[in-house]
Amino acid sequence: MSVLERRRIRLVPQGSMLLWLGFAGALVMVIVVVLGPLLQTHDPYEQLLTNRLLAPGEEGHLLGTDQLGRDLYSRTIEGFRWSLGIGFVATMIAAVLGTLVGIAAAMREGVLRTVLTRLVDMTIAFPYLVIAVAIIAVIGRGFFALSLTLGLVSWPIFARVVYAEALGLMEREYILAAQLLGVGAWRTLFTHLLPGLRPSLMVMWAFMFADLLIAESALSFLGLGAPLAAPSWGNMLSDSREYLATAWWMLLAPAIAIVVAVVTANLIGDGVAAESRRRAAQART
Amino acid sequence: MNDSSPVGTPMDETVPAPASGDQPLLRAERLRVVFRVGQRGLPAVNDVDLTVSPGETVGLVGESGSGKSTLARTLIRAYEPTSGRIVYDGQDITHASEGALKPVRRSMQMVFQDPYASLDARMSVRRIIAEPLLAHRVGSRREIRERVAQLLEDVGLPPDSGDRLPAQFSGGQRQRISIARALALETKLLIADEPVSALDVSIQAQIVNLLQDIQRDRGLAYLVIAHDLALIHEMCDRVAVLYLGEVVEEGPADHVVTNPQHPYTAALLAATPVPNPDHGRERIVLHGEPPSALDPPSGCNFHPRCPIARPHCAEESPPLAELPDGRRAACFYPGELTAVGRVDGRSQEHC
Amino acid sequence: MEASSAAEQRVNASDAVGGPVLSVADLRVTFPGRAGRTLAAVNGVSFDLRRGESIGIVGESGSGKSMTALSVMRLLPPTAQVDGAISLESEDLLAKSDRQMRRVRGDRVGMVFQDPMTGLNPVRRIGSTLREAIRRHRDCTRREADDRAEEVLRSVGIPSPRERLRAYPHQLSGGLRQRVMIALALVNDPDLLIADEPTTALDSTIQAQILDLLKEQVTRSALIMITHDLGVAAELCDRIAVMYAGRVVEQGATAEVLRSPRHPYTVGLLNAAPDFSRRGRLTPIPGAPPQIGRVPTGCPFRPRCDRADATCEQWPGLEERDERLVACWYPHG
Repeated sequence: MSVLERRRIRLVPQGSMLLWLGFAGALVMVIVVVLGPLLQTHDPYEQLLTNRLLAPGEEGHLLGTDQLGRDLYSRTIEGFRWSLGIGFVATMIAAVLGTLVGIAAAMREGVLRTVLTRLVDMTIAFPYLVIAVAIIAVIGRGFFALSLTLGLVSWPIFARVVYAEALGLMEREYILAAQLLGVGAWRTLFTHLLPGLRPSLMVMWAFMFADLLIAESALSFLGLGAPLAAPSWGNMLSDSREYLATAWWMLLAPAIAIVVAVVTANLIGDGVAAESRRRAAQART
Repeated sequence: MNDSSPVGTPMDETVPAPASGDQPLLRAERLRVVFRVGQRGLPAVNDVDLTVSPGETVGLVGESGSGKSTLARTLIRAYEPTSGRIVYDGQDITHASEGALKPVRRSMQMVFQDPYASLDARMSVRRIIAEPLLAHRVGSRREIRERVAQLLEDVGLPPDSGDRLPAQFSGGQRQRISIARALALETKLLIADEPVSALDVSIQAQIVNLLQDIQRDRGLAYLVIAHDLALIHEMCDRVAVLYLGEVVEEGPADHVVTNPQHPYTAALLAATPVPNPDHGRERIVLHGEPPSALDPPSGCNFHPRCPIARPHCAEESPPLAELPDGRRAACFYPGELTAVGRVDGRSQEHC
Repeated sequence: MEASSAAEQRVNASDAVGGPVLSVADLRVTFPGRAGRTLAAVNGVSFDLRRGESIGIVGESGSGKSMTALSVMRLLPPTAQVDGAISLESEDLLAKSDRQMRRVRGDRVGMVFQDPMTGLNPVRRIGSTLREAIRRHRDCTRREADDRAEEVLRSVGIPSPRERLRAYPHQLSGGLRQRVMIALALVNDPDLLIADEPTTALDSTIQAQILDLLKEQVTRSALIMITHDLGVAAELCDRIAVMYAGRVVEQGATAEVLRSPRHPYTVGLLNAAPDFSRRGRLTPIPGAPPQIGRVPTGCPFRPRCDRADATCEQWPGLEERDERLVACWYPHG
């Protein structure tokens, strides 16, 4: 009816191309993670001090070697498993925990809501390095410790967005209609609430994944991340720091890998957001 | 409301039910709903008595803020009343838990005003209509499928509608989907909150007729909430006019709408535009706007806008008293406004 | 007061006043559709409007009534193609540049929308909005602008207008906000006022106040009232144009059209609405209005019309008979 609405409907499905690019990138990354060892030319952990700091191409090392003579190409490939794996598990922990808390707070007014929203506020206010140090102190450095750390510091962001969104959905008339038809809370959750949250969850998931990839690098860089020998991209970056002047290639491979992975996740996030906006506009006509 | 008002007297004595001497299907007694606004209480519904008998259509009419939607939603227990009593089908549901309400929800249903917001846009029409059946575990998959097909036919939708999404339907058709969903279980009372006001004029009559056909075929009771007196007049046996959360006039729809006794009902009638150049109705233009329920006026709630208010209307609130023709009106001077004819409200600036 | 007598008096009075304020001739609004097709939102709308006159453009959603109003204001989206002629006081509005149109809007043409918040900036005081509207078109001091703003608020029945100048829109009720919108539309004494469903969002007792206000104001300018409600048009308008699927199907003096509707759609609309004079089964119009892009050829109403036959596959044209324009092969009466 109004001009404004008409304009919104005409919104070009921009980003759908980029979304496909994102999916293609994700597919490539999954393949690399699955095929990992088959793609490697050397053992990513094998140290050979005679081959220290070889430049790319020398002695059959595609991307050169690091300060301990480890093959950088194979380490970067192995790094896909480490870094993407940590990113994936951490994002999962954050998403599951955050969604549970967010939905519980939205669906149950009263004490539970107050307690949960306060808990979220407190966790966000807590410095995440302290959490990281605490966890490492208890279970030591490693894949799981790092995933848990990252998951435990980022779930409140999920929780906040899910809470706000679910609260909005709960006020929708079709949710009230379901309640008045005798549809119970659990059924409402699975048939109305979660499907309604799905687009936001996907978008948030993608962006959070990108953020946590960077956070993994940052923690590893600070020595709070993956075990020293592990070929996580963060560790590799951290190692390269001292040899930047003499062996610049040490920086190159992990940096490019991080950028590609982060951009891919962002493309998917943006693409899904644009797509769900487009669908919402379509549903309105 | 005044203590001397006849609230609390059983209404089935004063109001003739259209069916025989049946017990009312739904009965509200001295119902109050107070919302908390910051530290204060907002009485959205104030001491309302109402009954709906089996097969009867009762209208609730009023403007925004009159509490008509809140009242309806409280009766179906979307809200819990602050005080008073709701008895449905012989069962006190005033403070019943959601679990205890589940059997009630099988037979008391609601149709909403907005056919867009009240249907989940992600669900197929079949799933929407089947939702109450699934929720109450009624019937096998095949039985549900057949039931949905039957319901689609009953509300006049094409048989292939089930696989489509609400977005593929017009507003009128969506309202039919909503009605089909409300009929899926063994409905006895249907609460319709402004069921046609969001629809195009040429479609409204289709939905009104559909609701009337369904009522005739299934003997349902209706509670119709509307702001449009003409619609109330068309659909309802009885009507209650609400102003600021209180019933100001109540009685047979034909009498109340065509010959209002309370000045507010009279003003509402006069304000309803009619596309008839020869209608020749008096104009009563009320000045100002309804006061806030947070800060209600003294005495009669309507006195600041009332063209016939006397000084003592500001001091005492009139009881909802029975008039000779069986209806009830909460006014010290019932019938005066229509009797005195055109009232020039311009002398009463109360903005 | 009877609506008919008031309307007839105003028709007579306005005959004496010179040429038309607004003249719309064969207005067409089209949008580019898929696969190179064009979608007509408005198809051949014509009317003249003199000072003191009001026309009601009545129709359902998708009838093109709002598009008609927006084309007069030149507020259509840029993809819209507008053909035909629109002239205000003999000036061709379609030939004006955007810059020139900005001088017309808010000065010589005022507009009131259904939702008053669309026209009021929520973070500005009423007075500041009004003052800006005045000073954009008039060379005057701040003080003079304030006085004019107060005067116009008073004229639309806002109590204690001087204090209200300092209020923000959200501090006012819906009815008062709509009065402010009308004040804003009237602040520069426009030649033409366009009201697009100005009372649809309001309660009926407040609607009655706003209709009375518009009735008072129409004497000084001309009014286009866009509404879905024949009753509202009956209260306010000298003439009405009934639109269906982008076309005017019937146009004439309000009282005459309502007393003896000729087009089957007008007849259908009047029969479909509940009326206090009778109770009993309503007579709906079957089907639903077509969506833009799915309008049938010929007479757009023919799939829903009980009089339609093969002849109706041709558009009948808007023919004049007894000072009434009707587009139907088989009109009533």
